[in-house]
Amino acid sequence: MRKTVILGLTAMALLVIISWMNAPKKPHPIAFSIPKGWPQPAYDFKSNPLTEEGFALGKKLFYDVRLSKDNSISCGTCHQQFAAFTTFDHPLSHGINNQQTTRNAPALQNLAWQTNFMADGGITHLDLQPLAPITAENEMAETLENVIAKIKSDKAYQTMFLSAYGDANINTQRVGKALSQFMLLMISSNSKYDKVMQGRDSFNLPEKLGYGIFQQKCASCHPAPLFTDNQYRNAGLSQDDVLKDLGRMRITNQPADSLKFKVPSLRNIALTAPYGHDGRFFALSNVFDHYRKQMVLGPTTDPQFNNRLPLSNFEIGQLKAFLNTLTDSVFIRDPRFSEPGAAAGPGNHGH
Amino acid sequence: MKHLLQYLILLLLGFSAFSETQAQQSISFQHFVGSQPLVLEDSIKNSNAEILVVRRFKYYVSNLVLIDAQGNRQIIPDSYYLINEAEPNSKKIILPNSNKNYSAIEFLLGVDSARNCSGIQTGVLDPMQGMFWTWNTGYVFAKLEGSSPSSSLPAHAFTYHIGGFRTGENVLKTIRLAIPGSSLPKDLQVKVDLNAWFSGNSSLLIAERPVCHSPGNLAMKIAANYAQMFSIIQP
Repeated sequence: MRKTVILGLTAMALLVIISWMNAPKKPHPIAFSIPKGWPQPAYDFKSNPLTEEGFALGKKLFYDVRLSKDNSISCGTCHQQFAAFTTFDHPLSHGINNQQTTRNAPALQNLAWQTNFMADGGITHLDLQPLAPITAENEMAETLENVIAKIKSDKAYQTMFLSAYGDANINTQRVGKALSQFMLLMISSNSKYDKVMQGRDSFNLPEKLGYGIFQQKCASCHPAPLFTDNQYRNAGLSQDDVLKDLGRMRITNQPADSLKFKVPSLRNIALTAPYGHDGRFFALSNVFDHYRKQMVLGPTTDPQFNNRLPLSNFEIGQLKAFLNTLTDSVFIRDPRFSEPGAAAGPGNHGH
Repeated sequence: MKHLLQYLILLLLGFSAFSETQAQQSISFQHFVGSQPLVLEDSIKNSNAEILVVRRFKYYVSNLVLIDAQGNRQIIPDSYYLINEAEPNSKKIILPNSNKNYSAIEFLLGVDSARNCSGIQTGVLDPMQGMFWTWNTGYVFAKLEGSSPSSSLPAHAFTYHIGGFRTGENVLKTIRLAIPGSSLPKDLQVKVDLNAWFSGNSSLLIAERPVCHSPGNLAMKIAANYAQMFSIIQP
């Protein structure tokens, strides 16, 4: 009788230990800290609580070429950290089979404060955004079915989904949420400009003069701290006769939205050339020349540009000095966001 | 001990047998082109006398409501169904157990705007189902694809992907069907007539418009047509 009791107790203890060993460990939460003076983020973190495990999974997905049809392109291929997650030196990024995309890859930064994505704002949720480049024929050209199948067959992913979500279920929603977790933490708020605003640094004379001109002539559409108002505006860029891009109108079907594009953030602008929704401006000088001379004024051009944007050579010089203070060298070297096994630098990314 | 085990097994069997006797009611969608049952890949003539072959026919039924004779509405929570001609099981909606009698059913043809706007969904709403526009967030509510000699497109294809939930391009349709005799049969048969796509409110000629791939005027016109494709088959 006593033997049975002891045996029974031992068995029970063993069972408890085994189930404890098999039970998935709780993921470790990450606190999302809002930079001082910034507005509340738009992203609903309650629906997707940030965890170390979810972030690590998102990072693996972001840099995984298997998300493309021929296993050649990852998110990170066109969103390179050293270029503030744009494509370095490319007006239009490349898709599989020597194809070109139709728009300039945007910088990935401060995405938690955006409600709509893409230059035309067609995508209404960050979790959904990656599905567009993954499935677009001229980008990664893969089906979601195949992406999920590739992920499911990978042992490392199975373990990572288990530790991020508590069970090994792998689906589109979880892929999107993990990618969001990785991208939500890409916050750029450590530029010289930020340090100056916090009283930890000071502008030199050209930067200071440039800041004044900026506030007077640019800040209505590019307000701090995000340096975009997230609106859609026609800044007088003529329609490219090959791309025939209607911008926001492609989504809304409203003629009033013709040739309107999302106002881009100017953070890290020194790193994100070429400029414009189709990358038509190779350097900042081209952008300034556009604003002061080449703008095409049409029916939907922003009324603020009724007289174009007069800028003297002197003002342009000072503005450039100020815009350089928006470069965040901490952000572009942050190892949390770096491609595993790759040193940050353009040398490793010939494309 | 052995007897106890046998007794337990019997008890369990008894339970399962009992639960099976509870009548499970259902709604079945039967697809037709006029009076002809739809057969994928078969050539058929529509109401505009255009010959066509249907390759894919799928649509979302959601937010199902059962309505009794007094007008009380029993909302089926989280009810999202993707009816797909290619998957016979998808054409039958199993209803939750209920002893009540119903005089009408109501549902949305499509996916409510809340589910269009709240990130990636799972199950039948997983974008993997191929009923989602990734470049212009939103579900394709109904999809009809195939070929027709009338189409001027390569391979004489026609593709109608109908959706749109935003103001000005909303094609969400509330469908209400009265149940004959105000008594829900065990398996309510709903006839779905594809001819409605081509000749409901206005005529849609494959020869003229073989493609609809985005929300907007044409999608709204087609949705106004196909909203009339449902009717109850008298038992």
